[in-house]
Amino acid sequence: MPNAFSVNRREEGSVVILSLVGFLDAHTAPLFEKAIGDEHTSGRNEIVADCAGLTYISSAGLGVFMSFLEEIREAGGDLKLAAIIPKVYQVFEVLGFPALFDIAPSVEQALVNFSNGIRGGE
Amino acid sequence: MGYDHFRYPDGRLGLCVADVSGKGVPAALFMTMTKGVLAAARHDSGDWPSVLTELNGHLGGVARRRSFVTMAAASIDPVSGVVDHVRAGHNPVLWRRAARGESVFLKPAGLGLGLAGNASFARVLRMERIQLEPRDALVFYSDGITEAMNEAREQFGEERLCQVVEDCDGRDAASTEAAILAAVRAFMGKSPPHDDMTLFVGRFD
Repeated sequence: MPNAFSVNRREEGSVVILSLVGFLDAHTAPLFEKAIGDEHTSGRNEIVADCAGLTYISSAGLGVFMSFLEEIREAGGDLKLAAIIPKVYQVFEVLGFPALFDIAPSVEQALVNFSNGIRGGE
Repeated sequence: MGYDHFRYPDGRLGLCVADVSGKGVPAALFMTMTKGVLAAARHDSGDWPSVLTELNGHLGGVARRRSFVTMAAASIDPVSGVVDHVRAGHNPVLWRRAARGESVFLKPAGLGLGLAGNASFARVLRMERIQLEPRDALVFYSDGITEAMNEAREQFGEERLCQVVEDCDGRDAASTEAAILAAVRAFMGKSPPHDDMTLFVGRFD
């Protein structure tokens, strides 16, 4: 039986917040990929991935975070990660994500970082 | 998932364990390509940071960030016990220091291969040198080992891995490897495999 996963969307000014809930793996990654892709193609490139409800992430899920990062930054935006639970943060950390992404402890802090023009990584 | 090993002309053992993102035929083809590029890159250069940076450039160009490879690699001198180790986003290698009664996860900084451009990759990557002592063990593994789930959807985890390896102090590499796999299977019970598993255990005598 597929694992449960959902993406909930809301806006805070010019920033789109995508709240991830459940298991992000090979089965559910296309849902998240479509959510980010839809924002990018509609010109919304300031995105926060709210990971407070993300309980598991596999390598396929990690690939989604990378897949649009370059395009989003080239368009002048950023993809920020926020509120990652420790178990999932450990996976991000092993892969080296803290050197690539702006990772905030909360969605509110990520929004502040957008206001201050802070970007992660490259 | 895959691993490769080779001998340097000076007698050292080169070893790498790697895992490609995703599953199925595309992932298998990507790993095959990785092994090919690795074989070519290590002929051009003897040091791991250069080899991995070259590999990073090739994989990033092909996959355009949508697939990536994690890798733990080491050069092991079987006589002196000196180990040079790099980690490109892979699960940290477990170093069991049997004589000291300590278990250490080696976490030199490094990004997954193909995730970022070569400048960022090389800026982050660090090589770590350790000195093995008699009876020490090195355990390279894929996340299929530590993320194996039981019927309650709990993960096997690093703590259980450490405990099994600690219990194997004084045993050889083959029986340590068998004990780890047996412990993972016992933990999983009747739950189906979630991911493939790769495991390498080395014991320094």
